Amino acid sequence: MTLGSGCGAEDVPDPERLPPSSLKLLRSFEYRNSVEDLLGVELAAALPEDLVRANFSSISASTDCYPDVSVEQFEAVAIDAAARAFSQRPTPLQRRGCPAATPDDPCVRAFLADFGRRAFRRPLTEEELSRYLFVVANVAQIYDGDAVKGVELAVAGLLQSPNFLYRVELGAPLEDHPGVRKYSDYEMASRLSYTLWESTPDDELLEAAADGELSSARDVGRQVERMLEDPRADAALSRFWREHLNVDRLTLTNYPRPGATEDLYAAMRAEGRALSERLIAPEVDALEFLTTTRATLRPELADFYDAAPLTETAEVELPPTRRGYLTSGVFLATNGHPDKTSPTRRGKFIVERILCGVVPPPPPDVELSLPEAPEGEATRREVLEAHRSAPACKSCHEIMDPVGFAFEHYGPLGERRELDNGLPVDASGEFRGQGFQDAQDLIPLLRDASGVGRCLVQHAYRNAIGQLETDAQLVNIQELTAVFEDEGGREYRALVRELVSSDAFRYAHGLQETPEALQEEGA
Amino acid sequence: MTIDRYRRLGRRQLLRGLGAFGATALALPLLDVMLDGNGEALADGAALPVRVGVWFWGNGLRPEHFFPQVSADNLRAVGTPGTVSPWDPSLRQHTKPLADAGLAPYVSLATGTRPFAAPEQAHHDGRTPTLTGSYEWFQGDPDRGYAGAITPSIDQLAAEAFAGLTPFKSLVLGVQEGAANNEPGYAGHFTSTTGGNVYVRPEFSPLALFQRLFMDVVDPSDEAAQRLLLARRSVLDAVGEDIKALNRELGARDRMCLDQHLSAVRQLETRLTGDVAADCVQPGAPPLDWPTVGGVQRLRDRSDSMSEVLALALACDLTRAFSYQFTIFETGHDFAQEPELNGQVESVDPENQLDESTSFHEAAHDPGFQDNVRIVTNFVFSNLAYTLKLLAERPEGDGTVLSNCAILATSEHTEPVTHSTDDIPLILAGRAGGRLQGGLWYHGDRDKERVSQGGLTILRAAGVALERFGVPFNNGEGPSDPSTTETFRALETP
Repeated sequence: MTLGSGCGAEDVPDPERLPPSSLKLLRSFEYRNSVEDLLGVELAAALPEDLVRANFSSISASTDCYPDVSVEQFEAVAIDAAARAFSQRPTPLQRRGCPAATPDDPCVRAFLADFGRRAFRRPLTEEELSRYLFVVANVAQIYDGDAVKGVELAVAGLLQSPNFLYRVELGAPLEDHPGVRKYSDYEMASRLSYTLWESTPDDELLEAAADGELSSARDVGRQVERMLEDPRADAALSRFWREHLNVDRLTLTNYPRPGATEDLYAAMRAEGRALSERLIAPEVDALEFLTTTRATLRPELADFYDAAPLTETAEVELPPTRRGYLTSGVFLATNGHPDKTSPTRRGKFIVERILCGVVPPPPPDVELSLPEAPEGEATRREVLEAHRSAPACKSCHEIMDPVGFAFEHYGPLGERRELDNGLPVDASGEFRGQGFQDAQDLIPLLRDASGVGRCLVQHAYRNAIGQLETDAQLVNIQELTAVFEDEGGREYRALVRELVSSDAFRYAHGLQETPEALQEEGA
Repeated sequence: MTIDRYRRLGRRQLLRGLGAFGATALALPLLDVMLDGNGEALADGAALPVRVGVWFWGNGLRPEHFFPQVSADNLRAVGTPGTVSPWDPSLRQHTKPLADAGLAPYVSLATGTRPFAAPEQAHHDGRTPTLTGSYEWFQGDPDRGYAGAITPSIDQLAAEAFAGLTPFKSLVLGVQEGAANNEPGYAGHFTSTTGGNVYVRPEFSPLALFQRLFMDVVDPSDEAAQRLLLARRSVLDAVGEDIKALNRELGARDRMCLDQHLSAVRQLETRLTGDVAADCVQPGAPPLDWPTVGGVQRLRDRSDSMSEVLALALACDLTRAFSYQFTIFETGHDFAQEPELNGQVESVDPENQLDESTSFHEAAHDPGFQDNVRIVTNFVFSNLAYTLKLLAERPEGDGTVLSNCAILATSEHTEPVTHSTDDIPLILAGRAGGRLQGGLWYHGDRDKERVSQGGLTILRAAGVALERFGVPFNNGEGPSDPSTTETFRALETP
């Protein structure tokens, strides 16, 4: 993949294999963590929940823009947070021994330069420093010469700057290879920090950037080792699983289901979060999300699963009828209809998100609904099979439905059942030439299916890069998969380490365009 | 349009002496104080403002309860193409609430259109041509929900055209929370878009909206507050400079985000000037908020509150562009949560109550569910009627606020069983200062007329100069050009 390397020159990656660079919005938790890390005060305001594209908030962050309402909220939050930080004793200025008697006090300049460096994740330019020193002077004048008030408002300003509210990681074209953009050391500090810690870089990262120690993959790897040891990494790593597995999206607003209660959904989400946390631990095989027999259950969920009764939340061995994510409430309830199971939707999730297969959308002009069978006359499976015989439907449903039928022992909410519509459930089928009796049989086949590891890597790649991969980038995913499956021991943590040191994370090709711009280009 | 009219008018002076308004629900013929002696123009001679709005609901309707005439053998073949008929909304269940609220003279219908030359299906193909005039663009695999609007929706086009004339460039409001069917959190499902595959997330809290519009008022005698205002402006000035400095070598998407960001900062900065701090209502009782409780939403209650705040905002000329997303497209909402639809309100006839709790879009695919589609859509239209009625109750000039609005109420397809985009309902509400006629039904020839004509009719009536609505896009395959240069002339005042 190397275009050219010479004595002392770095290996230059093939630009076709690199994603474009773009500004990234701070997600709500990144914004909150950053402000709290910078100012040491807790944010009072509730921020709107993050949106997603292709299931990941990181992709929305590089696709969508801030609405006006968010810009206004950032203003209010920054003013409030700065005011609270400066009402503490000692004030942020006092902690640095700066009396700030006048706006011209040299320590004011030093304070803003330091705060700005942490907020912008790079040193301020002289122009920027002057701009915010002007705010100090201007505000001090409004407040009868109170320079401390001026600094407080300048801090509130730095927190509203686009250099804070966006991750400005654009890279710069390499001199000899203008098609390849390399992220600067400071941009790498920011990328690593937001990807692994969901917050602004610490002093050590910024110092490493200042010393030019984030340029090579090996240097990056050294920081990554340190960062993964930090507990802050756990939140970022487990977020991937929570988003990938739809954990937090199971709410009554999103999934109205007869019989569902807020408590039951909360217990299901808690199980999903605990699973997400286990999957990021060292030496854990990431594909255990399919097969684990352990789960953290709240008492109501233990009841719901017919597990041994619990009086408080505990990590327990699941009953034989449950194993892994695909028999959990989150999966079963988020892939269905309100009052009926949907083998098609369950199958679609497995095909798309576990196997990375492609399911085309339904053709136009087909009736998508199914007739209801009177009680005792036909199971859901029989109805589906009878009505999906049309050739237009068959080719796709043959991809999705057979694996979906394996979960017919679980009702619309995920409750275990032996009968469907008064008739015994048939959950048997065939997956890639191997027969199975039910979900318990199918799940190990899925774990061992070829392409499952690669599919997980593909999603981890999208999440970390914040974009859907182009076809030319698939080879990056293949290379990462080889490492993941061999020396990586299918450990998610090791995969992340590999990913953030890889060329696709350290270099870019071009700047992100909008559909309209692309259209003009193509026309 | 370099001078901000609302600053030039000196609203504070005009508003002084209007007296204390305690309750937000008071009708305030506010613009009257800005009018000239004849009540036909603003005091500075400019014409009364026309506001542009979109009122959107998801997942269509029952044609037999909407179309003015229904032929027994073919629901689609109604009327004679190209004709205009007087329209009696009281004759159909869906539109009856409009008639009952006395809105018939304000409302016309346009039917007999298609998004494309060939009939298409599915939600995206209906929503995007209707609201943006353009074909939806697909990036990669469309099934991954990665489709997007290329150009802005009607409300955002109007917002750009009217920028600087009012304190708020546009209001983007929503009632039902939660995403379209089975894709929660997806950013591409909202109604309002700035183009470039970027959608505007609506504001869902009537209370927060009210506070944003009306509560940021600073008493001139409160010195501390006045100082803080000055300080905040100084800060925003620096922030604006930072944005401009960053807006150099960037990709198109990044430039769009920063342009929007700068505009939001400038708008806020202008609002913080003393001139506009006074508002046309005294901060009285804020509206009730109707938050989601345990996942249960009360759409009627929240929509009532939201509509009341919106009506105030329009009457006070705080904005001239809005989007009102009653339900999201492909809505999966469970309408049986609504007290009047689930039997909790005793006065409602059992025939108009839902018999099952379910997710609307999915259930509406089922031919057996269609009577519930009727009930839900009747409910939607009675909410639409309430939004419009509040505007029709506020006098302005020699008419009402609604006389000076041009609102497109629409959905992303016709009937949910087929998801057909033939004859998407286009409801043109408001008289656009006299440029639109009310009380008419125009039925076109759907092989010739495009659904995007509705949007262009609205925009032109409001004085937004556009030669073409949307951009032609074909890319060598797929549906042909949905953009349009045509309006529904039959609905315009000659």
